Parts: sequence; structure tokens; C-alpha cells
Amino acid sequence: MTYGIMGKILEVDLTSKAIGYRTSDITVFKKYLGGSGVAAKILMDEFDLGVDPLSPENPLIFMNGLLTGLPVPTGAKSSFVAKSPLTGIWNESTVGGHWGAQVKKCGLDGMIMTGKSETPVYIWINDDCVEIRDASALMGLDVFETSDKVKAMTDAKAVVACIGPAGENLSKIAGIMIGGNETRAAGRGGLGAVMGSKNIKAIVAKGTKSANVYSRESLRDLLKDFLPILNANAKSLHDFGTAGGVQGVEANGDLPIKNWTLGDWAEGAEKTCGQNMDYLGITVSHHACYACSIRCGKDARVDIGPYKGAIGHGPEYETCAAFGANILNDNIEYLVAANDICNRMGLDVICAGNATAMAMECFERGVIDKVDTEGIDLTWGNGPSILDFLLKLAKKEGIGAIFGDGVKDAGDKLGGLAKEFAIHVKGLSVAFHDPRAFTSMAVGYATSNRGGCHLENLSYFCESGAFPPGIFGFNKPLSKHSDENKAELSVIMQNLMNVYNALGLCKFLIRGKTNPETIATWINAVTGWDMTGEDLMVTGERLHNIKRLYNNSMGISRKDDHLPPRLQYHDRRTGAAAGILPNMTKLLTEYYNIRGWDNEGIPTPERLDFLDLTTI
Amino acid sequence: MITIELKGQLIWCVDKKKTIPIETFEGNLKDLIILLRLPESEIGMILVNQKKEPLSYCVKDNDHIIIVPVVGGG
Repeated sequence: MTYGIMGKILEVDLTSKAIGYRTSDITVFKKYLGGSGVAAKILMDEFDLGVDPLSPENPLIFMNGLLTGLPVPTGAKSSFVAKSPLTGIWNESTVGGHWGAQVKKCGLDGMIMTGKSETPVYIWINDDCVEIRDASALMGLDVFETSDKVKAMTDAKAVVACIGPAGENLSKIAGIMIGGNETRAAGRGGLGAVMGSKNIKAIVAKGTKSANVYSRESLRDLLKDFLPILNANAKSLHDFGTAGGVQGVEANGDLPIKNWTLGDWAEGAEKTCGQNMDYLGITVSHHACYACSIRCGKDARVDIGPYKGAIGHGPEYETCAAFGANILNDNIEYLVAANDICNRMGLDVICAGNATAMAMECFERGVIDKVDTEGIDLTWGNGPSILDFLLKLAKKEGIGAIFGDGVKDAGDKLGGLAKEFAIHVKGLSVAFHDPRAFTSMAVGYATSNRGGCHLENLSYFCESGAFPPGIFGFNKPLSKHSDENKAELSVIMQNLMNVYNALGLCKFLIRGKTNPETIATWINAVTGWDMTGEDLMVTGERLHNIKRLYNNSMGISRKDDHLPPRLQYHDRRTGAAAGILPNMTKLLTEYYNIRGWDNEGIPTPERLDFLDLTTI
Repeated sequence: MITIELKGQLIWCVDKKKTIPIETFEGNLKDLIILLRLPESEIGMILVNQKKEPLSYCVKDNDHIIIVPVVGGG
């Protein structure tokens, strides 16, 4: 009997409309755990990595984590994986909600989508029955409309993953959106455009199966003491969502302000945080992802703009930073409306927010003007203009044609000074945690496999005290004003976060002070394996390295592992992180040494042998 | 008299007060955060007269205490 996983993976060829299955190889799952780990192995073994990301030859892989859809805390996450049209390198985009769990109920561990349909389609997975159906009636609809309509065409209780107009228009900052107006997003890296390039408007799943668990009793016993700790430590997340962290981020100098140029914004942070949305009654209710007791999802009322009166998934922290501090907008109503537009259009808020900030800086410096914007006044903090700009972005019309494929592309198009305003690593806009506040994040961003990603490292949680690294045995001193020990912390956290992604666990599980040994006991209860915490961390290292090998084959090396100049060379004058800059030469050299990579950032044969990756 | 300065989201725990003077207080920093009903899991660092101190630090008269929250967000 197979435990944990369902045992098969769906294969859909959109060109021929052929539908088939492959057996999930348990030895592969044991070595790569699932999610983006197993997807990486499949991509490396079976597909040409040199393809155009928006060509039919670029496969779009969806893979559940080993623990996705099981009664394990936060076991809701799954990964979409493909070569990114935004960066041209490895991309994985994890998403929560109820999508992965529902796919598992259909008896599937994942899906591999290849080719391109001639006409728009949606894929309807109804337990064991899979159909490719005509989606012409869905084209042009936004995410909320698509979800509602396709459920009416299939099953009201189905879960929907779809693209919005941004994905249809092949915007390289389009995401794959889950759950209609309870929006969760596989936002990063432009995978909405990959889905759009295959002419897939939506994937719909409804199933009735459940995975075998080796010992439900052991699992229950293990979780009995753990859950109260998680719930107590994550109370703020429950009460106010991730947006409840805006002021704390600002107080630590970690909040990007005015396109990453300023150091403090305390009054603005107070107006644009989750606590204020709760206080003003904008937050109307909570919702949870599958198997999660934290319930950090918030539903927010939209009080302004074209969708005034609607209720949808409220702004997360990243959205508050994107459409608050980083564009100097302290009007919470416009912030909520901007969030709603991104969710409806299917835009990644981090990329869209960075693009908005860059456009405003370009406008201020005269790089673009009102002729370019067709009358949109892109002065800092101008609420109505933000909404107009985002709608243009999704359609790639007018000024949206310049910024609709992300900041790097916009910098290349505008040239000169504009390139300095484009805050990205390897083409992916940097997420809204400033590496000048916690410098372990500097080397983390520089070496993250998908580019400017905070979730591949998450070490700001460690440096700020939210996840003390002593929990996983790291007891070396960490100072805000020194780079000592930061590279080592970054390596450990990258390895651990690779494990999280492959297992299908949410990063907020760390609020339960969760160490690898604890997670290993859950895996063993689910699968009957005998994994240790140490095994898990080696697996995490293996996963980081296989993705690095993918990128190395795309030409990525030390020359690409850097921050944008603004974050590497320009310190801020005020705030809790004033004057701090990371020493990237020191950090990278230490990082490569610890990783067992050569001086150019290529894994050495000895390290690959240790990680059992020599055949990749 | 001691003065407590709250940073970040911690102000919402005490009716959005950013500074709290306390005439007399006996105990350590852990006692103080219990008195103020601040969630310990949300506290990243406590500075007393600009120096980082542990929860076991015994509060003294004239201390200026800054309480900084952990970083959250997503």
C-alpha cells in the first residue's frame, strides 16, 4: 500500500488533447519529497530546458507536496513549476487555499501539461474523469467571474485554478489564481502567462478520495501538543493576517518605502496595516487554507474604485507594502481597491507593486510623462491613478505595454536612468523585505533560485526573533550591523524552505517554533518511513542544488548573483536600518564555500556526489 | 518613573499609545510585558537605555524602555 501520496500523475497534451497518467515513483518522492522537488527532477530528466518559456514545448507542471491535503498543520500548499517567461530560469510558485487538497481528492499527486491548444480550453478533473472542454465563454472574464462561471458549468463545490486577463494577455507578471474571490495566488514568475500560452483558461477539480496514512493515531498524538503552541504564537496572524505585520516590518527598517529609497514611514504604516483595516471595519471575516488552524486569510470590503461594494480576499502584507509604503499611499481604501484589481486581473502583487513604484519614479524624474501615461497622473501616492495604471498593466495597453512584463523589461525598454529604478534579482521583482535591514536576506535574494524571492530564505524571521534559529541548532551571534554568520544562516534557511515547499507546508508553520525533527516525525507517521531531521535538511540541500543546476544550465553563475544597485550600494539615512549595507563579496564567498560550490557559484562534483545528484 | 516606548503593531495592544510612563514599577521585563498585556511571541527585542536586555533584566527607576516587535508579514 502507498501512504501519503496518491500514486499517479495526470498528463495532458494540449496539442493532441491526449490525456494519460504515469505512476508516481515512490523512490523519487522519498528522495525529492514532492511539490517543486519532484517537479524539478521531472523537468531535469525529461524536458529540453532551452525552450522558449511561452512556447508549447515548455511544460507547466503542478505538483502536490508529500503532506498536501493531509491532516498535517498548514498542509495546503502545492507548486506550479515551469521555466519562467519573466526570468528565463527556474520558477516555482507555491499556492495554498484548497486547490492542492482537492487535486489530491481526485487521486492525483500532480499534473504535467504540455503543448498548446488551438482554442481556449479548461480542464475539468471530476474524480477519475478528466475532460478538456471549450473555454470560449470564459475568455475575457476576470478571476472572480471565471471561477463563478466555470463552477456553474461543472460543480458548485469544485475548486478552480485560473488565469485572469493578465494571463490571457501573456503578461509576464501574471499569476495562476486559486479559489475565486477567496484568492490565493501562484503569483510569482509569470506562470499565468505560461498557462495562457497553452490556451488553458482554467483547471477545475472536484474529488472524493483520500490518501492512506500509515498511522493516523500517531499523527494525532504528535499534533496534540503542537497545535496549541502554533495557535498561540500565530495569534496576530489569525487576528490581522499577514497585513498585521506592516508596522513591525517598518519598525525594524525592513519596509521598502518610495521605491526602496527611504528608511521610515511610521504614520503611514499605522494607516495601512491589518490592525487598521480591522479597526475601520474593512476586514469583514476570516478564512483558512486546508488543514490550517491559523486562519490568516481575511475578507475585505472594497469601498472605492470600479469594484466598489465587492468583498474579496483582503490585502496581504506584501500588497500593503506594494500599494502603501513603496508608492507613498497611506489611503487604505485605494490600497484595498488596488489589491482587489490585482486579484481580479490575475497579477502578481509584488511585481505589479514594484512596477507601479518604478513608473512613479520614472514620472517624477521625467523619464515618462502624461503623454506616455495617456493622462494618468502618476505622482507618488495618487490613489485613483494606481487603479487606472493597474488596469492598463493587466491589458498591456498604453503605459501598461511598457510595464506589463515587469520592471526589468520596462528598464530595458526605457533605458538609461530607468534601469536604476527597476528593483529585481534575475528579472524577478524583489519581495518587500529590505535586505539592508537583515543582511542574511541579501545573500538569500542573490542566490534564490527563482530570483528576488523572500520565501526561499525567510531568514528575516530568524534575525528579528520571530523564528529563533536556536530552534534548529544555530546559536551563532547575529547582529543587524554585521554580516557575520549571515551566509550560513541563509544556507540553512534555504535548505529548510526547500523542504517546506516540497512537503506542501506553509511558511507560517515556523511560528510554531517547528524544527526539522518535528516535521520528520509527521512524515514518518504519514508514510511509515524512518526519516530524521538531518535527512530532511540534506534533502533540502539536494533540492536547492538541483534547481541551481537547472539555472547553471541556463548560464547562471556568480555574475548573476547580486542585488540591484540601489539595495547593494545605497544606504538609507533614517529608520531602524539606517546606514546598513550588505557586503556582498564577503557574503557570497562564504555562501559558496558553505554550499560546496566553486568560486563561480557552480556546485562541485564532490558536493553533487554527496547529494546523490551526479546523474542529473 | 520609567518610560516605555512601544514600536510597530504593539501600540494596538494598549489603545494605540506609543509612550507609557509608569510612576513606580518593581520587577523584571517579563513582569512588565505581562502587566502591559503584550504578547511575548510578538516581541523581538527590548532596549533599555539603548542597550538590548533579556526578559530577566530587573527594571530600575528612570529606565527608558523601547519594545520592538518581531518582523511578520509574508
